[in-house]
Amino acid sequence: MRRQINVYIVQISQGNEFALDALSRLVSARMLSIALSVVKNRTIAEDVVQDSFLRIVRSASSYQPDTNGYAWICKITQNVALNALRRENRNKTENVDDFFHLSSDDDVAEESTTHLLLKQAMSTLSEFEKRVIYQKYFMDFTVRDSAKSLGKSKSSVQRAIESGEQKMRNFLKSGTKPPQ
Amino acid sequence: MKKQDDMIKQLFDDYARELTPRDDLSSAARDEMTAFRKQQKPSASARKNDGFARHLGWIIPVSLVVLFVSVVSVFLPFLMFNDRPGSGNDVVTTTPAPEYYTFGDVKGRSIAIDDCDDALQISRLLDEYEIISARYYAFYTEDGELRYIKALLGVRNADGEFTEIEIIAEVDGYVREDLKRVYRAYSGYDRLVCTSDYADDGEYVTQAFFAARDMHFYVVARNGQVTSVAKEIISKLL
Repeated sequence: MRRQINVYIVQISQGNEFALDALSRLVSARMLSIALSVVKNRTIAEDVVQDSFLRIVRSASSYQPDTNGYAWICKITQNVALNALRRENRNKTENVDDFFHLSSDDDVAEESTTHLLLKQAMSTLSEFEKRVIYQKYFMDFTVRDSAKSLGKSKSSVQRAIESGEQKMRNFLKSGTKPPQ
Repeated sequence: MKKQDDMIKQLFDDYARELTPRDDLSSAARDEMTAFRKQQKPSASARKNDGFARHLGWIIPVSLVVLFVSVVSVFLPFLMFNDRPGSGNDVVTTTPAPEYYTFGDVKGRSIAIDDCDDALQISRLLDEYEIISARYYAFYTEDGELRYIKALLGVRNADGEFTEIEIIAEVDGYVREDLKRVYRAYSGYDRLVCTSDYADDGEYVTQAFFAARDMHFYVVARNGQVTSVAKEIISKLL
């Protein structure tokens, strides 16, 4: 999927509308999930994704084909979402506590087993760990990307990732939440 | 970044796979790309295609538009959960001043057209064409009122020629904000209007608008061989 995304971005830069449709099919749901994790409001999040796609189209010509296109899209989405959040004059603190609730798609009547399991596993983490784990596994961010977006040092991000991963592994292996 | 943990990665991948694509969320970007491309002059190579291939090509989108109109007429009574303003369950005709709404006012869900194939003539189409993809979405307000149905169709004929068609069938009396420019320009017509027909790098794009069966339709067809399909569609519909 990642390689195909890179190809689509290049094709979009050449004016190929099919590529935009194809890219949308691949990443629109993920982009909505990312937007929801920031703005906590479905209507605003949908506008964020629309604006993000506009930015992707306008910036596609500056995309470097040998880099991670998916992470590039995630960064755009997150930045647009943060801007929207500031415009809405809401709480600027990023919080992924409830993103699993919010990102449940309308077609899904109930939270799936996967959603519940992931939600429970994430509940074992601190707020900072949640964010960096989410960025690493859902947004393909590097340590450098996370450090830059969160205004933290790379070493602190790395420590939080290692700590978060260990907690999630423990949870997934034992199925129990460790003592806080 | 150190290697990802397989177990955690699997969990996030499973979660991502369960999310439903939202094609409608890229429509503004698509409109911008389309508007930009319409400013470009058709390429010389694109104008060269004509004759038999052109006539062969438009059969596919015409058939699919007929199919989609049939689909809408079959599904419409079931999709309209609630009354529209002042209408009871009766169908509202197009009014000069429709009610506008935005993406944020509606939510989409997939609908399974295939479940009613007896009425949809899909089997007839399958005899001649390979349907690569056929996806249908219905968009409702929070109150459960249908606003529009969107179809994304991809077909290939025996020669391997691919045609992609996007159709939005909107309930009369309502117009999505980003579509109102087209609606305002063409809703006065009681026949199909080819709103634009252009070529770019050998790919022909035809956009059309027409009203039928208490809905109005926005159609975009893209094909590597065909220059204009919209002008022929009306004769098949009426």
